[in-house]
Amino acid sequence: MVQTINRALRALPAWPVYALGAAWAAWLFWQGLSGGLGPEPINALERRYGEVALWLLIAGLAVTPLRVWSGVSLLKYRRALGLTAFGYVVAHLAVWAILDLQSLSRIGAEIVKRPYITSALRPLC
Amino acid sequence: MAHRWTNTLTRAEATPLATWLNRRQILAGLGGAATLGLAAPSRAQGLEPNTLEQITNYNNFYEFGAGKDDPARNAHRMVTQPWSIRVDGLVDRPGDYALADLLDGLTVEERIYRFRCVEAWSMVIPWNGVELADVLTKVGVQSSARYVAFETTLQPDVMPGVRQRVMPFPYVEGLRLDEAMHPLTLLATGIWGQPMPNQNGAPIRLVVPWKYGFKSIKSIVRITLTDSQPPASWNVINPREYGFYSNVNPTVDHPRWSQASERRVGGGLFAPRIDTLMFNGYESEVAGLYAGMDLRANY
Repeated sequence: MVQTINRALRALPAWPVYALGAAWAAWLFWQGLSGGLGPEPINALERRYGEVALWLLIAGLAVTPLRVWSGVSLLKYRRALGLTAFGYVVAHLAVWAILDLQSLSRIGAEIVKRPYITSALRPLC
Repeated sequence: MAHRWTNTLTRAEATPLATWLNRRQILAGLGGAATLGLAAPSRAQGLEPNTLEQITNYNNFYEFGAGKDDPARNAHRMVTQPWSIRVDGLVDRPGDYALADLLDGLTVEERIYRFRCVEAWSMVIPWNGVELADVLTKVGVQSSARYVAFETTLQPDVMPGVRQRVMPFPYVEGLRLDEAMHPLTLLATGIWGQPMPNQNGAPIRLVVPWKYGFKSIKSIVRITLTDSQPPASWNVINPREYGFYSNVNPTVDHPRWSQASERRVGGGLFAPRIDTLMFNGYESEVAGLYAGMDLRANY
């Protein structure tokens, strides 16, 4: 069973993870532009990008435990999952900085004053 | 009561901006009233009311769920007829009043107010309602009364947020008596000339335009006059973040975000941030209520 899955996975390349990730991000942005995210799309988009980043991060971290416990190996997708997660983190940050706060002084003040913002930025530095 | 409130936000703001400016230009052309034409548009720019669609699809009404679109999805099941309000405490004529009896003889006015949520978003809303002061006068406030307490209806069968206990219910709020008697303070029964939509607090809700939105309690079933400060839901849950007064104040931040600026709902993905005004722009009307008070301590 496990070997059948692993054999099937060998035929599937990793690049669709990037393609789907980028397409989904673009689709969400379009939704924000066209009213699909409601009357206040900036917060909605910020949150969606952040959520997807979190899910992809968890998926990437789950690759090794899955292989250890079940034998199913998704190793070849791990880099794609991680990089796509990073892409969503950057998109989340960009929406926060550019669309939400809109000014360097506000961004600076938030980073200094709010512990949760400070800790959110720490992994990037 | 000092004076009746004279509205500076007028019908002009309720007209689509382009149409309205056009009309001004025609007027100016006809009468040569250039000064009139110059002064008005700048005021109109920031104060175009939100559409009914926006006002009814972006709400905080935790009884129906914590998401902004939950009230629009779930509130239609709330029972609003018949509706009665229990008036008790330090009043001359306590009792259970049918809504129509409580409003009988009072004039429903249109008031276009800024509405500022503590979450740093805002709207401009054309309310229809009566002054709370007129209702209180009608039931007879006793001289020992100092505060007014309000309570929201509790209908667990149709309120998913109540069943999930997202916060303690019923939702309660309170005002100091002088705040309650202020001519700006409204008991609203409609928006844009329509009966109050359920998700906005049908059939009757409080509107206190110089305070953060959560003070403007929805779907009121009880009004109690008291001599001591009544509990207010968010203040009870998290007193460090939400004070009893909760006046809009750009200089006192929420512990988790800045209150210096806000975003008007409905501006899309590139909506600009605008500066938040002291007392939400009603400083000249209400600052006197807080003379001598430290607004940093009494947030």
